[in-house]
Amino acid sequence: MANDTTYLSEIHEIRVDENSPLFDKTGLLYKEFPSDYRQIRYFTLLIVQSAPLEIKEINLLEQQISEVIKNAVKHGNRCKPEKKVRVWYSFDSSHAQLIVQDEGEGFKDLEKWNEFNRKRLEILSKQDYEGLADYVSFRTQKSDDNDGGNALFAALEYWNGGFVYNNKRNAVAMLKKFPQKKHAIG
Amino acid sequence: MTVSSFTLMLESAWPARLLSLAIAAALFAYLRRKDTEGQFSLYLAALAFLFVRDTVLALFPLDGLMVVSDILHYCFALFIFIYPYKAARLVLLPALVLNLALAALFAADSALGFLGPLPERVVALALPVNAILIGLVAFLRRKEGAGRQIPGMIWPFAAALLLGYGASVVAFGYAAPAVERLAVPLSYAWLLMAALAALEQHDRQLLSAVAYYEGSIDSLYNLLLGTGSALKGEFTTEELLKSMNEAIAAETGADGGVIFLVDEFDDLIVCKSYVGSYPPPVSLPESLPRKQNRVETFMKHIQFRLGEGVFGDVAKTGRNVFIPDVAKDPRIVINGEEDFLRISSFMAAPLMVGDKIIGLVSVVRKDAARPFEEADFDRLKLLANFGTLSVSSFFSYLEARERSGLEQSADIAADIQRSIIPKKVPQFPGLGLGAFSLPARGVSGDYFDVIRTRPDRVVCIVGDVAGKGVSAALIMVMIRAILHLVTNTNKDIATVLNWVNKGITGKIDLDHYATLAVIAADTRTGEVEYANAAHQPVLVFRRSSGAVETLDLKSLPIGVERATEYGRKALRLAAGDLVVMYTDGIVEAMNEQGKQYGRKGLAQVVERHRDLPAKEIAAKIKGDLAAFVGSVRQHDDQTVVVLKMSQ
Amino acid sequence: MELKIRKSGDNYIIDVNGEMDLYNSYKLKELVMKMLEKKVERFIINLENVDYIDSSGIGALIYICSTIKKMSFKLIITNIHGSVKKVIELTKLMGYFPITNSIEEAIQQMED
Repeated sequence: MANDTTYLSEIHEIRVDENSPLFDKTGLLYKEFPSDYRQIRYFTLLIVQSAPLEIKEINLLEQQISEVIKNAVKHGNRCKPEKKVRVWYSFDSSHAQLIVQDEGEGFKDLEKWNEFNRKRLEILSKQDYEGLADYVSFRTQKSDDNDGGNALFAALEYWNGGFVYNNKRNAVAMLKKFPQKKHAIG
Repeated sequence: MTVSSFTLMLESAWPARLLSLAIAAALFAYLRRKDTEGQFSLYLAALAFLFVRDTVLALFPLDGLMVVSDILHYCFALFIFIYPYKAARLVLLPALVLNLALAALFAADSALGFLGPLPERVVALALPVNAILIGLVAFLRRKEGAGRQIPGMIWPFAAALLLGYGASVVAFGYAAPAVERLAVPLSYAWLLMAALAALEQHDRQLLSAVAYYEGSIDSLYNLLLGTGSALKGEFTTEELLKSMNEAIAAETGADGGVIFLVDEFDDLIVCKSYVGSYPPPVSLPESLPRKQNRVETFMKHIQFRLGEGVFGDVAKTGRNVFIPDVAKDPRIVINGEEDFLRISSFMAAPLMVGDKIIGLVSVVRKDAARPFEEADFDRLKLLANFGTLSVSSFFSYLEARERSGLEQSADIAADIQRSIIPKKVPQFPGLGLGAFSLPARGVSGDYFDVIRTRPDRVVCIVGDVAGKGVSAALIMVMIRAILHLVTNTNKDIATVLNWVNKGITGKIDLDHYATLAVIAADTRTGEVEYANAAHQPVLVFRRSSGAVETLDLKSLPIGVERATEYGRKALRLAAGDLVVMYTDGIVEAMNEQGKQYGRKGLAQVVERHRDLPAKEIAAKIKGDLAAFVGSVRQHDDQTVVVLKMSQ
Repeated sequence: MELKIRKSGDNYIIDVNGEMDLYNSYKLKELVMKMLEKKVERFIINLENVDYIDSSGIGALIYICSTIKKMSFKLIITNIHGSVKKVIELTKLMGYFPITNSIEEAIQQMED
């Protein structure tokens, strides 16, 4: 299990760090899937069902995991069923850790995305909602009508323990730390 | 002291005076136990002073002692009757100083005689003068609140008495028998009156406490009546909270009341009940039109984060809030002077179940002339506690359903599962069967069944339902029902899977998926049909060649696409051949080193024991797997079904 | 996912039931486009019964929102809660979407 706090301050940028402890696979469970677009939610369910019932945001966790798998299936492996998506994962009541790897050529536009996100956050901090209209979705030539482009914005905010790619940019590792239950009075 | 002087004392005025003093002292001493303000000390001091004076006088009849001590006596009275009126204290000091100076002068003169004989009765004029002063001050200041204390209760009587006494001394002098024996003891009567007044005050306090408690009990009763009737019939959270809200607002005399409940998922508090007219105590958004209906709707659906604003603070810390006058308090925002915007008085109390804060109640008044009082605040706290108590079973139910609803539904799911997993597998003369299913953490997603469709035909199914809880268990029940129905027809097992899939997909809002592997075997001939919906491949062990074959068909799980067409394969088993069906919990089981059991591990244990009957092979697999994983907790269910053609 | 339409005055309320995910979010988009063709100008999208939304769902809402804005018509999204609210917060789009806590407030705001 990774426990790296340096990432907490850099949550607004996707980092490339192959040596991150988040890529450490010891103790993680493993499953692999064919890149079948139709089964993305099914695969997600297979992974999430080993999460403890006490996690109160399980819907949100499921959704965030499905986004990462969707990215791997759709953009990484181009929905080719013979290409595999490999997932290492581990859950308990305090954290959720995932590594998702595809067989693609990697997230080439990563730097562009960071730049785009930076501008987006700037506009948001100015509350310029008119200008935001141009920054709600990240599109590249390969995007289609159904690409929200929003998944990564949310992912960066959600995986508060870190969200990093390997050098080849075809594997992403992430960590979520769940807030522990507070006492009733305090 | 000699007997004769003692007899003299007894025959003098001393006993009578003593009696008056004693009675008054006894009463004060009795009430002193209840007196927390120490106001009785002064009266007791006066009584003590007079007792000492009388005793000394009885023993040593000094001239002038009476008038000096009476002046001092009146000083006590001056202090007692004037001090409570703050404005009049200016008069008190000079009066006391003059009196004391006069007394001192006369005493010195009596002893040393430097001024010549001063007529006692002239000096005694100070007494009626003091009495008039007392009466004047008390009369002029009678409207002040000090009037509720003892001096305020008895001043007319005391002033009159002291005036009368003083006048009689001036008129007749101390030597007159009427004065000595009657007037002097009578002059103590004001102290007696004070004691009686103290008694009455004590009674009044008791009565008002009783009235207060009676009022509280009435309020509680009304609250219970209100919420009780909500609980009796069909109730929703909204109706229940509405009765509670109305009761609390009525009993605190509020113009409006709101109840917020904590939404645990979002760390928010949401307004769930609104009665009367409750203006928002927070800044209104600029875009909101200042019209009554808009402002009211805004308040009715308002939400705050825990800790945000005065409401969020109550919900987070559990602290009560009492702001009788909101004008000076920065926590409350007044958005305008109109009736639907103005608040003048504010209170809030948390709603707690055990030590968990589940929400809060708040009430306001709009009329600045009628702010909330401490009694109203006490009432609010009482009702908030009691109200939550009386409906806490309901709130606990909500909370339990929320929190351990998962545990409960897991129990229900486990029960459902236990009832549909076969307890025994049938055996056939030509075919032996063995199976086991180990759930992980009490809720199994695995499903297996062995259906005897004809005396010599059996259908074995192994499946894995994705997801947990009741809904997954229900899917299992549905699949089982459809399977039992459909396998009794003559349809091939691929069609069976098609029908199961059509029955499950898209029927329910939430996505539900399952994998299934089906083996239909003719127990006499060994002819086997195999169909698969994305399940783990089936292992076939051939006795003659010793080979291990894998049966697999690439397919979608049940529940993904309605129109999926499933395929099938056919094969024939010879004597001694084995078929092993399993779920991924078997091959993915991990040991302490993080290694997976794998298909290889499974194949190896089966090969080692291939000569045993199917039932025992299943048991051997179970044992080998247990040995492999050691103490590592398993996260997935483990199911195995073994078929063996008899030799 | 199920979509139901009802009317309140000139306002068309779309009640969404179920989950808005990558397989069915296009349905909401298509419905709104159809309604725009039929000259509907005031939309209230009620997400009270939605407790799952992913980036496709957000994408659909963004598309609907910007289309309606371009045509100078009115849209209000209401009754978001739980993980739906969380996702919109994570994408920092709370200020971008016109949102109210209740249908009541949405109807009132339509009149402004």
